[in-house]
Amino acid sequence: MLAALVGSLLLLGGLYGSEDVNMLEAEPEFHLNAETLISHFKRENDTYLEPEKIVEIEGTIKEINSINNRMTILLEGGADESACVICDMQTDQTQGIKNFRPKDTIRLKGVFKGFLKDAIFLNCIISQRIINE
Amino acid sequence: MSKVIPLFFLLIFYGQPPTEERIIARQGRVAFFSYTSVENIKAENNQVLSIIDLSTHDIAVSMLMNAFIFEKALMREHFNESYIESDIYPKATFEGKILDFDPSAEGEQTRMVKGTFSMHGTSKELEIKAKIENIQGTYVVSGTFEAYVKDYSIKIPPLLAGNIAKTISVDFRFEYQPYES
Repeated sequence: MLAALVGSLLLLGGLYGSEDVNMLEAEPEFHLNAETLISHFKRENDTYLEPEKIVEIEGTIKEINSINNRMTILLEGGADESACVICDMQTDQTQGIKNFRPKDTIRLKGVFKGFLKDAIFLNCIISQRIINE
Repeated sequence: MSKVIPLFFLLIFYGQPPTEERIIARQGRVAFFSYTSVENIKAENNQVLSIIDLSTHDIAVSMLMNAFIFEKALMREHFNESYIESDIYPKATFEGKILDFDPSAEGEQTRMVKGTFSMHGTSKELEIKAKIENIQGTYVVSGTFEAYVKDYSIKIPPLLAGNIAKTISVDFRFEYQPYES
């Protein structure tokens, strides 16, 4: 009852405006390779990575598309592997994405949501971390 | 529910027939809308998986419930933690058949899709009207249906009942490509 009351007050108070995590500042909990991630899920190792973890993921670009008016980068999951990593990019990343093409290597940071046939990440940004940092 | 999940995975991962008879949408879109006098809530999921078997007309859909994007972060929190409980029920699935579907017909056809929609640990038989476009072998399936919150064991605190509609409008659109195994 108390939770419901608090919830109502939050709603009526207009506090629904809280923002998502600032991905630019967020520190990733894991640094992974796209092929490694996919190979774990293909082996049905579902506990390899928990949903909602912030992850920096590196891989080869398979495709860049704007299906559903969302800028999306797909990373290859490995040779002869149709499963891939789907990264739904933040809207402020459009300019940076223009510098990349399929087959380029890219490092992205995003929130892991889970695995269907592919690994799914939301709120993705191009990672600014320097290699070998 | 217990029968639906194994059937779904059989179709998705181990299913016959050969891959050339199946088509896949990896970035399908499902959006829902809740309209009330207090508040309008809308959310969309753009990474919905769907596979159609063109020989049997079977269709399977799977989506991650925590991958819905809301306008406001607190709406997403309430949806995942209080209503859908996405940590306990991470996926929603639909498994069914497109009735009277002719995959060889070019252009647009409107067909009923009949099957079982499972969400939040509850399964419900649905019949949904869908528009199917076939443009030179590229299929797009889209439509709208109404979902009743009470059908899926979603508990809404009485004090918040006015904020969430009893009937949720759901839009979907899937653009399919040939299936790569």
